[in-house]
Amino acid sequence: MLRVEGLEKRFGGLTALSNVDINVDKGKIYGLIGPNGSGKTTLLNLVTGVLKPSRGKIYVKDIDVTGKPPHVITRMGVSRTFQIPRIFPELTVEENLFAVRRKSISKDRLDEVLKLVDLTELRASKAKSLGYGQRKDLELARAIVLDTDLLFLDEPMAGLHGSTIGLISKQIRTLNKEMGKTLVIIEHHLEELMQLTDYVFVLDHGEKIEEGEPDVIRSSKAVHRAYFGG
Amino acid sequence: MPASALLGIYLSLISGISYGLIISLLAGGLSLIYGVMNNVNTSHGAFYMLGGFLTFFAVSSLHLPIVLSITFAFAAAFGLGLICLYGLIPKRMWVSKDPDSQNIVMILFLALAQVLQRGVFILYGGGSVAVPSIQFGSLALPGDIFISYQTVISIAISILSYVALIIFLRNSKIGKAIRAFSQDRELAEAMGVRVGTIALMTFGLGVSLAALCGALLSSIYSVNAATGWNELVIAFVIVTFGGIGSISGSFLGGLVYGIVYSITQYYLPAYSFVIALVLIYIILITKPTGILGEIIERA
Amino acid sequence: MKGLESSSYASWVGRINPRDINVIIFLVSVVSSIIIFFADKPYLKFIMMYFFAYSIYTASWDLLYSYSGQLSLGQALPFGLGAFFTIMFAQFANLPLVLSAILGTLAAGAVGGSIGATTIRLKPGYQGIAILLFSQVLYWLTLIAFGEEGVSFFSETPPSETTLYFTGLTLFVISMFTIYMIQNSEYKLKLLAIKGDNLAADVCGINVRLHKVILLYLSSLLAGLAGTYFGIFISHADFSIFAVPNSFLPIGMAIVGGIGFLGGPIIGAAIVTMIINILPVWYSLAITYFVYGIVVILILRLRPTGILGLLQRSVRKEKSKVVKS
Repeated sequence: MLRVEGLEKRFGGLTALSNVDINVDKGKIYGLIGPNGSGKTTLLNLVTGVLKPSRGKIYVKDIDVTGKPPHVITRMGVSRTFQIPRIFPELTVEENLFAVRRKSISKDRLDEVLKLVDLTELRASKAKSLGYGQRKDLELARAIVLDTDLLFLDEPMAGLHGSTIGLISKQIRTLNKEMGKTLVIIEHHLEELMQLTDYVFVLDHGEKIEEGEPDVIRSSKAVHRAYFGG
Repeated sequence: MPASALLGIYLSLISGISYGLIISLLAGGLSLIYGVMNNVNTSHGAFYMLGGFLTFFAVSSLHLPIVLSITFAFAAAFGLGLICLYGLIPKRMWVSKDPDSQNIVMILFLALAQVLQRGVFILYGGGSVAVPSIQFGSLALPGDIFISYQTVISIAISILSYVALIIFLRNSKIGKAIRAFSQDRELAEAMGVRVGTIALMTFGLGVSLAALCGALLSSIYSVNAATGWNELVIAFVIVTFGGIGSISGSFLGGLVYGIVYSITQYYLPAYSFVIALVLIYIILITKPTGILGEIIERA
Repeated sequence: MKGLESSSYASWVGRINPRDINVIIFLVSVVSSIIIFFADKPYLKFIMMYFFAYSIYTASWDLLYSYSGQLSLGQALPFGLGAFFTIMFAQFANLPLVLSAILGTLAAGAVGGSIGATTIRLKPGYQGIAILLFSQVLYWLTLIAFGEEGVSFFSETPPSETTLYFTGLTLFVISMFTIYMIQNSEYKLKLLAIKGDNLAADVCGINVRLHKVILLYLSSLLAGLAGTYFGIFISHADFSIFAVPNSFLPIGMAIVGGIGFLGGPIIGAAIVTMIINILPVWYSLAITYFVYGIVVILILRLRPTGILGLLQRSVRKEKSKVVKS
């Protein structure tokens, strides 16, 4: 589904990512974790075409997409959300979806998606009037409506609490089990993430220091050192 | 190469580089404003024009000596800049990276430029005014070339102003606050630096540099009410070439502009301005990273 | 902005809504134009020709700004090119006027759009000035090439006033209709998404750069059309058509009338055209434009939605009054 080889990104003198290899198989839920500044969002930006890598290759469904612009990569089946939701402020909730939907998504399907994220009642409201949590819902809905096989979620639980987090987990499971989407989730809520994912990648200081199933990660010394030091 | 051609190039270089060194003051002001406030001052050329007219006014109506007149122009432009920023632009837009806000600010400044231009036209008509030189006469350079004292003095004032600006930014309380603010806004605000003060000071300083440049160049060339748009465009090219927010970059960029201009001046005098602009613009577009800064957006 | 009816997405797409105030304004202006023609006041007819040209000119700027978020500070570039190319084709290449006009408009659109396309990669603040740069370049090029007299159009069989007038009206109708269709199409959503957030739109599969370029060409084409008509009925074009104040004109008109909807440029062009033709009778041209600049600033600060915004608000008030009673 997605393959990254020797990926590297430098900003001037700063190396944000060095020599990262990642393989994402179809149908699973993946986690991407690491302390702040470890390069998770940079990796996401590279893979979705927002940034160009300094070195390395990116393959989506075995096709080389290194250096291609975001809309091309999205058309090939990769969509994403942002850490701080980027919705289209002057469009209404339903216009936000309608503007980007693939032709394969029918108008009824749009209604379903609105229902899934619980925004049906706000459908005619301008997106800029939405609160933080609602914006995250809208972004998720928009990513779904793009009808991609692979979906990246950048800290979907950030800034939310308690029962809302449980709802997000439920939505993610629905996306995976019922819609058959492959997911890669960047998160700091580690416990929830471990319960949700099939496989986890760990970054630290721009390098991949560990990967494996959640149990492996939980007991990994390297991961502990990265997060808690010593 | 024949001696006459060398002489011709030499002449061009002298006038071109002289111009570049002085006009870089204008660019420095624009760069300062954009670097700190994230806003493009589309009225910058109008303040250049005002610099010439304020000086002329001080000389002809206030009967001040020329050096004092130039100082008057600098100070008056500073004050006018403060008034314009405060009265014209909503405070939340003074420092903003939001493109919608930036667009509105640019339109407001453009409207301001129109008003200033027409205002000057109403007061002085459409004719050109020239400001008297600080020192008449010319300096003899090797090769039987003459450069006017005024040009030399203007270059000196320009360089001195640059030095003064850098010292001000590095050592004065406000200067340090401005630099801290442009590097890390949140931190600066947490340490008590206030957006409003920074914006006002920066804008006032930026446009007074423009006016100073206008005061100096209106003694070598002249100004009229419609002057300023060429200069704005030149400043834009210099600033983006030298790096946004980089004062020394503007100086370097001014030098580069002067050289390019002098070369085109030599070969195609009528079209020199146009060619110089387009050449530098092409470099900007095709070379992704500027000399001292990155100007092209990714994606 | 018209919202979507509950559970019928974009029901407004492709339909001309007779209760849309923009349509009303458009129809009023067409009807007024016809009435004015038959009122037989030659000076008024001349002002109307200005109106036709300027409303298309303003609409071209507004389309680019409000529907792709690109601010052009040099819209005089394609406008002036339209005038120059058309007159040059007719006068120097001796082509028939209609052909010259078509070629002139296309050439202006092509050149303007291509130059605009080079500015896409610049930071938002600088894109506007880059286009201004080229309008200045053309200012000097035409001054050097044609001097202060510029180019003029002489013909043994110049078009009659009636022809000119109704051509202008026709161009007005076609242009406004085209723009209205764009503003009421699904495509509009894509454009507004781009305007709202370039990166988010790109990441959602929208080819941001392509659509920005499309709009640049479209905007230049319309401005070129306006300039072509302008050059024809004035029969003259010189370097001053590229001056920055001429680039400010459509901006100010759009702000006065109200940006973002078709009705705004129409109202703005109508009002400002009247002002700049009537005020100089008593005051000088400089004072007129001085006042114009101040008016634009005031409206932008105090009533940013312009006159159209005021009209829309009163319409909404009327509607809610009806509902309540």
